[in-house]
Amino acid sequence: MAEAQGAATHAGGANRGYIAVGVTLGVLTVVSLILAYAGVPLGILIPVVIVLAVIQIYLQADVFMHLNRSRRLYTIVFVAGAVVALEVFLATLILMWAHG
Amino acid sequence: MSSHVADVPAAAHRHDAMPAENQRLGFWIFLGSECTFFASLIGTYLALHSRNMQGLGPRQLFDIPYAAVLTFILLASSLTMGLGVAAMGRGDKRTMRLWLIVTAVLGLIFLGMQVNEFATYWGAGLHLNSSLFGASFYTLVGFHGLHVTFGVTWIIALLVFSWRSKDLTEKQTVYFETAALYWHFVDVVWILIFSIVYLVGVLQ
Repeated sequence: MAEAQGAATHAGGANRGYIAVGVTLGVLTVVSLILAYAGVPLGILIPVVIVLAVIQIYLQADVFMHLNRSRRLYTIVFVAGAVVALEVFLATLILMWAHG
Repeated sequence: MSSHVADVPAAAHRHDAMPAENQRLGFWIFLGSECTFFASLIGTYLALHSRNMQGLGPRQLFDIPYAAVLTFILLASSLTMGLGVAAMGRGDKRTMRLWLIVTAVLGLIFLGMQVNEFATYWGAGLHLNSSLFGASFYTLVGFHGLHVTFGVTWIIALLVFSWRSKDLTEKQTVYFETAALYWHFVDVVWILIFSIVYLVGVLQ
């Protein structure tokens, strides 16, 4: 009985955690929208929007994709992929602009 | 001797567990390679979208509130997928199926709205070959849409299989976990597309 109650409490806690992260992701999207329409100078807006996107991606990967409680190897593999992706992204931009 | 006998079930367990761990690791490697794929598409879009502009550009076409609704739908589907996997962890198959159905429906709504968005832009005169903006936009957002389509198909297939079997096996659990990972990854890519392509594109 106590075990069942404990499991239910744990399940409720996990669900609340997911809902909290889901709401946070929504709020961050709203903040991006408000900033975009608030007339913030582009030099400030672009880095802020990118930082907000990175926070959202971190929350997704850490909580929804369970990197916070998975094997460390998964994090290393995924981050390595993201680093290669960043290099490909920068290389593509440089290549295209250099031939612009 | 007794320790050798005791080791047999442990060895058998390791033998069973290895494929599941390998599948998870293999899927994370796949997601890492997907990062590279989308990075090249986003980089190409950013480099090309403002070149050879013939009339229609992000400012004239993009409807930010519409794209924001698409974003909220995918974020909500990520939450429902998370709740579904949490239910699976508790062995609550009925709740898991319910959340997965909601996730698939949200994915289908997203796809329907994206088809409508593409049809609107196409009708306004933005074609694949009309400008570099059109080519790079349709390629980037279209490939993301293909990923969502594959994700929805995967979720529906898993739902069908889950109805055919009584209990969730370890193998099925890994399939659901990897489908969830894929779905969250697709959401991560959309967050980037919304922020970089839509928001920054309209304001530039």
